[in-house]
Amino acid sequence: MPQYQLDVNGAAVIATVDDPAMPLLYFLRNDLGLHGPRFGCGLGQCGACTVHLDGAAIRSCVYPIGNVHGKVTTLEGLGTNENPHPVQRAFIEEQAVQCGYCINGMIMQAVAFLKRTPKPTEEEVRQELRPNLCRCGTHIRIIRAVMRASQAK
Amino acid sequence: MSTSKQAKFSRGLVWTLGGVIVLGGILAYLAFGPGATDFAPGKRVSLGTDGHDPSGVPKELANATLVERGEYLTRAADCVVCHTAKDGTPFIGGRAFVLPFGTLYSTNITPDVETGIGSYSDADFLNALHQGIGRGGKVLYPAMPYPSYTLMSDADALAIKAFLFSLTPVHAPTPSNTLAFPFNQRALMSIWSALFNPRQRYEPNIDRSDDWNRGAYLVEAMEHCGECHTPRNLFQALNNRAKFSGAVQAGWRAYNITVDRDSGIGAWSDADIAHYLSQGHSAGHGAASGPMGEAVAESVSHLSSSDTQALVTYLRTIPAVHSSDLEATKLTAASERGDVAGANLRGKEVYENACAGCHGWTGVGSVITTANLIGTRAVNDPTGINVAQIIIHGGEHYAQEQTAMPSFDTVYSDGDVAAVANYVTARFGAKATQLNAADVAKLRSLD
Amino acid sequence: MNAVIDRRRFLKGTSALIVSFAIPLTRGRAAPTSSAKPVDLNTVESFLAIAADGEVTVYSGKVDLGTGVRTALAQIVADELDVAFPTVAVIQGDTDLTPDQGPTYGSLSIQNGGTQLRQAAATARRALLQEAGKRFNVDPESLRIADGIVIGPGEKRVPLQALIAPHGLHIKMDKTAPLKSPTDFKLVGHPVQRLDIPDKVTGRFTFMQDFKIPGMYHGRVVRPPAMGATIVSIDESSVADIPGIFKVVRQENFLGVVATNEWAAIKAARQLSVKWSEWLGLPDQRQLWEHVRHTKIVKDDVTSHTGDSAHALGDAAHRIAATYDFAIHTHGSIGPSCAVAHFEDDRLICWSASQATHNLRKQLAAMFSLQDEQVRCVYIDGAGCYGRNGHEDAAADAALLARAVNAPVRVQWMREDEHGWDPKGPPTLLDMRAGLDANGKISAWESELYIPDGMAGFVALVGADLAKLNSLGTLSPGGVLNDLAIPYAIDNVKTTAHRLESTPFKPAWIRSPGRMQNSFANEAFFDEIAAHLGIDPLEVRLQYVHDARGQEVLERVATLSGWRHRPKPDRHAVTSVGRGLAYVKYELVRTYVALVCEAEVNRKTGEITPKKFFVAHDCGQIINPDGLRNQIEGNIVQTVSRVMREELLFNRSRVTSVDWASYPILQFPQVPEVVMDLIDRPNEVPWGAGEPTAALVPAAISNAVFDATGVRLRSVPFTPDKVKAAIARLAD
Repeated sequence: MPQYQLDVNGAAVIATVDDPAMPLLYFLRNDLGLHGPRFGCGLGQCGACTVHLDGAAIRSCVYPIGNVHGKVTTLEGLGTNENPHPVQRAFIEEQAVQCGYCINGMIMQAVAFLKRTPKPTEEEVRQELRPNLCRCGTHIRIIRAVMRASQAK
Repeated sequence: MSTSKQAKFSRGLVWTLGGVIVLGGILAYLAFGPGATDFAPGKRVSLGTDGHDPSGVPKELANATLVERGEYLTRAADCVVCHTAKDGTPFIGGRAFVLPFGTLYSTNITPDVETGIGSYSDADFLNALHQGIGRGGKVLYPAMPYPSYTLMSDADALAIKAFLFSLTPVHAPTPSNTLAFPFNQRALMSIWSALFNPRQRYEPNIDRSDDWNRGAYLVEAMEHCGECHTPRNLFQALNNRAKFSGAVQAGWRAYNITVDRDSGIGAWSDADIAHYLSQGHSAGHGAASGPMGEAVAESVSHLSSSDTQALVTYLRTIPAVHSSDLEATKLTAASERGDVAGANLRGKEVYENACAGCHGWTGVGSVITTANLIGTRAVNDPTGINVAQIIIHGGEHYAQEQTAMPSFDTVYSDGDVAAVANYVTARFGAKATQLNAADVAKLRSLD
Repeated sequence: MNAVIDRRRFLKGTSALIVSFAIPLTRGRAAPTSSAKPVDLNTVESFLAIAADGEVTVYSGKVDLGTGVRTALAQIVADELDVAFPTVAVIQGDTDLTPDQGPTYGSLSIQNGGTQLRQAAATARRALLQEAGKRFNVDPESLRIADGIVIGPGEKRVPLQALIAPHGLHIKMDKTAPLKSPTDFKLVGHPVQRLDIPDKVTGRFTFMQDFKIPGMYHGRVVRPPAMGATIVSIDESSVADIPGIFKVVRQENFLGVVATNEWAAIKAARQLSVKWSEWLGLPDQRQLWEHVRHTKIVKDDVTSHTGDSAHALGDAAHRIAATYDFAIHTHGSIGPSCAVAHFEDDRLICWSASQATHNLRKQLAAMFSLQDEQVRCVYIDGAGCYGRNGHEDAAADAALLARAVNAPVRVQWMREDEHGWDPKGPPTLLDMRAGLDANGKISAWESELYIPDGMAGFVALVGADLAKLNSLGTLSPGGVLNDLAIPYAIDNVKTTAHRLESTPFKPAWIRSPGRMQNSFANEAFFDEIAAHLGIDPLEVRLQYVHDARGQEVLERVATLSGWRHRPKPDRHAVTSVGRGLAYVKYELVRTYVALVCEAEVNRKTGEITPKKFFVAHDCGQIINPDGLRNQIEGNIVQTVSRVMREELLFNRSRVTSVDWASYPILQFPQVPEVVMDLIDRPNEVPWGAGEPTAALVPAAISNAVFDATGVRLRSVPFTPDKVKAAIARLAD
């Protein structure tokens, strides 16, 4: 079985999978037991699975593990309850969560976005997060949380 | 009249008549081009003469029932794609054809008596396929490709009818067409049909092999490839002087499939063509997508391997016509990192977000090999419309073991689709495209 | 620190019992309740436990669906008992441990569930103070509690947990136990931060989709390509080459694959070669409303009847009539349904995100011919489900596969399973009629609703239907009769629901079921009447609402939105902005909402952009104002999505809108602004807020479009094609 050496949240791990086409998402969730990236559609259409690859937001549900080259960061790697990332903190302060299932994608996409565009307008936030779907209707708070994080820095 | 006036009048008359004749000649030249297989010299005989008969089903089905043979031939004629609405129930019609002068809907061809073809006699059915006239004398619009189906043998047409009559009748009225005047005048279509429907069965070319004739019959009478791949003239009839050199259909580009090396399929091997037709994909050339994806999934991939081979034999002989805007495809992969196009930051962001996983930064798609973009026609098309369309519609699902590309319709905005399409063509293709949001919006509206 | 799902807490329970997943099981049939913990609704211990270290556990039959209910319930209990908020944890939806407080729906979690909990806490408080009074030899009235410590005169102190013995909390609920006065609330009424949010934001939270148990296999279902198709043949060799494939499971037409890893299960489900029969049993989507109108009616439910509307209509000087329709919607959960099931000895344990685990238990028991006590259903939070989605069905699938392989199996529905197979909000048709007398008074109102028969019962489980097993299912569209009756004082009213024998897809409730569709028709039609009378929509409502709290929300939304000074749109400009109003007293007995929508319409493209919403909201006592705001925003944004673009697509055989491209929902660029005026009445009953505002969104938008263009939209979704067609009709 092929083996892949990965760096996930700063730790070196070895993925032993029989199919290099297996999306990274299942390795992160099942083999590493991570809860951050979520299964929402498996089609790259909703963003719930978003992780960072060398700091760029990617859809792990359509990213074959055989193609993963670089450092993978998941929600867990951004920050913890005790020491949250500024964007995570902003989401807590704004209580920008209803069911919470989409929030991983929102935060991961926002963090990568704020690196590129540190002081976005609200319109820019809306455009950037367009491919990230939320069914509960938490959008208003999510926008506020991202703006808050951008202003806190 | 005075003599000088008479002379003037006569001269005028001569000039006018001459002009009309020249104009008529030009129009006739434009209107009456060569027939579908006229490019191939050789002696023609009528179908069945001396055993020359490439119609019917392949050897494997020789002992099949009429309905089973009809099923094979219905597949080969690809009836189901046009006669099924998007995601609709097969054969009950309702598919919208959005034309510049309005929208046409395909009809219900299940044997329902009230809304389908349940009351069609054999003669009615032959009339429809060969003459383009529906039951009760209704002239059909040539969205129904009867100028191609007219080449089909009576026996094959009736086998298709037998298969259609074996389907469960479904009550499904056809939505009304919304065509602007004068296109809503069916009678005008009979003039068009009189001019442009050859109205004759396929004539085998006895100076060509059986395989070639079988391929010609399948391509021209059944699969009707020219209806999409041959450009049309002023009168919207097929211009076979530029046979198979490509055309745009409902926002998708049907590419040049002549033997031209740079812009056609001349550089493809026989195996490449056969694989594309039977699996919907050819490594280093591309994947059948959009309308061609449907055609392969529902029709071409169901042909026997002998019939697929016949298609290849025939296609190999289509005279080269060069498409002026299509260069030879770029065959070298992109570098692992680093930008080619530079300024298209948004395109790169979107590519990184959703595409790089399968397609890679080199464009090679090393894990999912069918995701390879290098050398594909769509990526090497300066109009870029097929790339945008594939992003919107996703890939076909006909090969079970392949991971199909999902649809990104509604996920990404018009501007983002344009940006990433431009990024892809710049990075992996011969020439960067310049699509904008309005271009993508227009493509979406043609759906 | 509050534990959200805390295994340690779960295992501790009260001093009287040990609770764990591995409950020793009694063999044989008709096993008694397998734990010593009571779950009846009359015992305090069913709802509350205080452990030896002072940790308080709340046992709630109502579950948190992402609504913040868990936090709100903890606030209620912490305030009533005067314990420190971080010491309260909530265990929800476990049929072995939590009482059956009914399903979590209908915005009743706080109203009913919270009220019961409050009573339990108040009863416990009184009993514990009485015990303390005995020990200190003082009048219990002289005692107070702070942070879980009872404090008496002379600084005598004893923690609550020390007062538990000998009776424990095994005492009867006492409706006369005094409740805290709202002025003494420290948590209730305050925007306490939700307990679950930090974990959700850092990835520590365990959703149902994250849940694992040792020895668990991965399963996927293989559904038919046509909903009523049967299996003709299966070629198992088509998946034999997939490493990790364990078993192909078939029972009648139920088909699933089980594997040792998830990706193998996914590939096997896609790759399995199956021949299915043909089935064309669905109606033509283009003829949906004819189909609904001609479906056999099994009975009529007259939901309100005053005076003689037929006569009044006959006598009316003017009559108006209109027909409204509302498309089939799917729940569209972002996290597709997921469940884990395990048969151990002769007990079935099933973990799912079901809103009604006590009902699911009965259904699974029936399906597998078990006694109810042999089945344990445990709730673990899923993604928002907004009603009965596929959670229960995934549970049935997991149980079928678990039994087939005799090991725990996790089933995760794929996106096409969720969109294709979860029950749907049924198509709804309403005929409306009104009569106006010569003085402009509304003299008659009639409505006829076409909706499937049934209420909110047990929805048949997909796996059971396919496997030809009984899951006690009945036609269950939900409480769809609610809000057909109107909150207006009109003399002659008759509202009738024609109950249909069938509906194209298995129906179930989806956020504000029936109430949304009925309020759409009521509030848009009322607006039509106002237009006919030439009276402002606000003023005419104030004339016919004879309810002080109702009038107050109307006045407040008028102030908030500047309704009385609103500009008059130019109905002939290419784009114009209009404002629409809608009002409800939810189910005529609870939450009052008035909503104004400001929407821009482009006459050329048919695009409607709802830009801003103004809400005045009266739900009685507010438990958590920030939670309330969150809910109202969600109500509006989700319903804007439903109204503007959502419509199930299908052919004669199956649902065809099976991904987000074919069933698009609202995205960030289209999200409107929302401003609110929240009315808090701490002395009133706390009513729910999960649904009422949603019910008003369709009419508020339709009325705004009318204001902007003179065009009436009576058919949800309000697609650009419909808008353009309506504008064209108006021009004729």
